[in-house]
Amino acid sequence: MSHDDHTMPPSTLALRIKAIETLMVEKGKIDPGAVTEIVDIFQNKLGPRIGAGVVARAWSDPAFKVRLLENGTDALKEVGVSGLQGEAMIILENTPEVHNVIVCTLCSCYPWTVLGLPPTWYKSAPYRSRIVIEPRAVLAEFGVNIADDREVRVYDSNAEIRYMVLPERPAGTEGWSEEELAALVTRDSMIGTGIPLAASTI
Amino acid sequence: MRSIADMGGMQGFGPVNRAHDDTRFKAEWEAKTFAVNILSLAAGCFNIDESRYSMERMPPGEYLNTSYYEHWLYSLEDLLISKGVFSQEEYQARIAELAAKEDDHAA
Amino acid sequence: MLPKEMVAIAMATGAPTLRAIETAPKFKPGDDIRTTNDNVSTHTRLPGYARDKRGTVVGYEGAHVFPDAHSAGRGECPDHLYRVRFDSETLWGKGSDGPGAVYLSLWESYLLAGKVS
Repeated sequence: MSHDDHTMPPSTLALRIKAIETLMVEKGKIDPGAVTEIVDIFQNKLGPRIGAGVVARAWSDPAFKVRLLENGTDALKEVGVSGLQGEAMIILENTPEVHNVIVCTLCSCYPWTVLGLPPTWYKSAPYRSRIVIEPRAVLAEFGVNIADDREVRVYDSNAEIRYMVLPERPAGTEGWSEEELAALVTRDSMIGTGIPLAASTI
Repeated sequence: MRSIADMGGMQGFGPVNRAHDDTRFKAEWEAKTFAVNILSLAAGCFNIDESRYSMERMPPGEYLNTSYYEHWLYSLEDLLISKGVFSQEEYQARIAELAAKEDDHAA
Repeated sequence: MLPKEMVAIAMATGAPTLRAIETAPKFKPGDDIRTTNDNVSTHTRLPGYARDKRGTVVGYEGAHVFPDAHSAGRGECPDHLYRVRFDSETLWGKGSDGPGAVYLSLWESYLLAGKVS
């Protein structure tokens, strides 16, 4: 049975949360309209395109990149990015010497403000358990092969500090607009389990 | 605590299932669980650290065999009841009421 | 209760855990530390794999709400938080799969001063 399977039929889960929701509304703890708002924000407004835009700007604007790496939280606020699970952001730069990758081994914390909600594999036992102890093997499963002499840094998000990887800019993209650059930035490249698309892809 | 959730470095879980690439809520109950959790935190019913601690105390077999949002649902039940926001009796009664309504509609 | 109209602002503000405290940080970047060996049966954010391990402080994150206390009804009890690097070889010995390190954010009470070499 996969980690992701339900043990109960979804209707039972639906009844449980509906019971909780209706009780909480009756007791004046939650506004039913707020439930819809939150789902809309996290389903439709937040997502990796936000992070991709930040990466593209960092690639295009060296001064912004310096600020981003020095104080991720403040630099993100400059471009209107802030909020829940992104209150303290650190941006990790990939270089020829260092490849970064993020995880939360204890529970699945993730930088919602720049990447939206995490994919199911990120929250799974195989990822959470293995990425800290055998990162190269896990990265290879993602098709990312790290040279033997390059350092892999795994950031375990155990406190409220959240991370985003700034991947290396693909070759052959000189003079590209931020919009064109952003299209190369995949969600996985900002987690560290992938690299950006090649220039030839677009 | 060295709970089942403390899984960094544990071995034997097998390959990462890359096909599980979805980020959207897979069902309405997931979306509601997410939102109700956030709103309960905002209302001060419990704090995020209590929430994580609650999930860590799920029976290990259950933790491994249920999905991420089922963990959230578990902690919502645990905390809202233990903190007296509603009672176990109220909760079970509401579930039964809603189930009966569903049966009525299905009939 | 958070009303619908305030949701967007609340989500954009989040719930920062940074706090001001009276005491000065005990450690600074470059310091060698050892994580404590004191197992706890309650909530903590020191993963088991990093308990009783040598690491190096690489950054100071300010003082943050302390989960061990906050989860147990003892209030926020903010404490200094550090970014600490653990070499893969320290954590996994010969079981490491290549040059690397794991970085954790650790509260001061999780840390002991490392040996002066």
